[in-house]
Amino acid sequence: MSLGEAAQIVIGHLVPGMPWMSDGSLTPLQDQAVWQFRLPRTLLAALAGAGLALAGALMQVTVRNPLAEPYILGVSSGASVGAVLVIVFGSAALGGLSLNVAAFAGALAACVAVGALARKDGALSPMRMILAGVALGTLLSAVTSYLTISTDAQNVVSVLFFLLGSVSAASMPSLIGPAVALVVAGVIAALLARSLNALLTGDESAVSLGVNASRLRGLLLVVASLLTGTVVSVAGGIGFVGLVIPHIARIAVGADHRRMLPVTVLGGAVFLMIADLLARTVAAPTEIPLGILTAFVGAPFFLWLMRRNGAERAGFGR
Amino acid sequence: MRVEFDDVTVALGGRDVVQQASLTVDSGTVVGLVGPNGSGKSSLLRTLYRALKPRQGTVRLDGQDVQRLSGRQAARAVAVMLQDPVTDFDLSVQETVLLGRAPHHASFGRDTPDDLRIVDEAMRRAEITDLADRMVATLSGGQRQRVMLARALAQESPVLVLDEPSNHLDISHQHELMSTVRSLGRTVIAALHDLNLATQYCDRVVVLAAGRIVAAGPPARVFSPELIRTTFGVDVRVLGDADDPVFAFRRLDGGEGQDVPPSTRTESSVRT
Repeated sequence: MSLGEAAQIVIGHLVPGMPWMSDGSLTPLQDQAVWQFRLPRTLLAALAGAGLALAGALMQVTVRNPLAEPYILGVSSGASVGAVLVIVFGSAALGGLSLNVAAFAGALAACVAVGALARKDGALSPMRMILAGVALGTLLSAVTSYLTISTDAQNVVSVLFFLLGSVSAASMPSLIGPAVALVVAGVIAALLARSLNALLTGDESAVSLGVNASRLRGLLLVVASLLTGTVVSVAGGIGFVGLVIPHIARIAVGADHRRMLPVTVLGGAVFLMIADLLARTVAAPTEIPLGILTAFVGAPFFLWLMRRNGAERAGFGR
Repeated sequence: MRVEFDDVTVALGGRDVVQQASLTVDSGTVVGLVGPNGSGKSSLLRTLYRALKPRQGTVRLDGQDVQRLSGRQAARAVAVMLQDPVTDFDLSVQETVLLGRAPHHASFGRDTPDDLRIVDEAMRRAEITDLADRMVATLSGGQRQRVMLARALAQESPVLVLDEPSNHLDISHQHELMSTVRSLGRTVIAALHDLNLATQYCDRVVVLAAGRIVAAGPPARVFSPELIRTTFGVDVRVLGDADDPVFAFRRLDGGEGQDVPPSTRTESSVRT
């Protein structure tokens, strides 16, 4: 099918009365392939990419660490436990909980636990957040691994597919959650952009500029975790986007959040749409899990960028 | 703007690092806080810019408790030249100085022409105009300190706090910095290690030792050889006039009254 035909189908669904929808030039099969499968999955790829990249950027400034990513607080490990429980024991055994809901609940539980563990004297310390997240993530991964290895072989593939991330199961209704989360998080991040810049320079510095560092960190933790949890529950644990896209945005436009956040959101969307296109075409008809593609394409590209001159803008000058 | 520390006690890790400090800094004066390492200078200053909350006592700006101000109100009244601005996520010099405008705006939106003009002026005063596009992490310690000065100046606050502002600066920039902050007519409180610098540029000095204020007044009167010996544990020779003294420090050897041969003495400047 050509790009033109695909465009015709999409336009035909959005604008009533388009002649090509009724003159028989397009088969019902083509129509179904585009409208019911390819469009939702492409949109989900864009939403997931944008959401994970934004969550990664927020997490990096929250804990003020370039190694931070959306999953650093154990969000994906929590989601995995929820999803794997449903895959292994079946939805019925868990009171009819769907995989998406179980994954979201797991993600939320993990991030609440990390937040509680990292709190001391009413303040969230970045170092404690990272360490609590890593420790809890390891614990939850062990649970996932145990469940996976002790279940039927047929379930293992489903588990792996979730862990590596995929947008192949996308439908129009499944887009609502990530779309709402992305818009809400995006608006909050945009409103906070200048305070985020202040937070980059340290807590004491932020306070001297009138920013309540501790409260801001708590808010960012909630926003980034909800965004990540929503995406992961629909698209699984797609890796690498949330770590690398924010860095690429900083290399391109510098660390000022007023410029780097829009580039991060756009970059994440484009990157994951391209990755998904490759995932379903390079080895067609077999589909490659998205997480493998993002790492395979993203890692070399990022390493090339990092070594290039000009990367000082992102703090790689030292 | 007048700054008042009223019976301020600060606890850190269960220890009172500042004890019942009371001090008034009159509007438009330059006051130097001196004292050995760990004497509580920085902790006392932190209560003014609200990085620490006093365990007891009140810090007031023109009579108003700083703890009752909003974060932005406090930051519009008090700017701080902090010691080390380096992070893993690097901003350019101009972006860093622009942060000084943050308390004057909502958290979103573009920089106004006014902001850019104020930032240009602050960078000119701190002599970093030609560094504007450099990344902060690539600068020397002294250059970074001047960036932090510019950021504090761009905040346009009536009160300016300097925490060991000159420890990375060369001699000429130390004097440049102190005469710049003096010329602003703002209320300045600076933690200083260099007693000669404090003597030249401060209207008053306040001496802290072990968390307590032990002396306060005009530098030439406060810095007696006895006080310097007991507070800092160094011997001092006073050069110049009594009302414009210059201090030369030597290691305190073998206790008071004992005559020590020069060869066993160490210049304090070498040790620090």
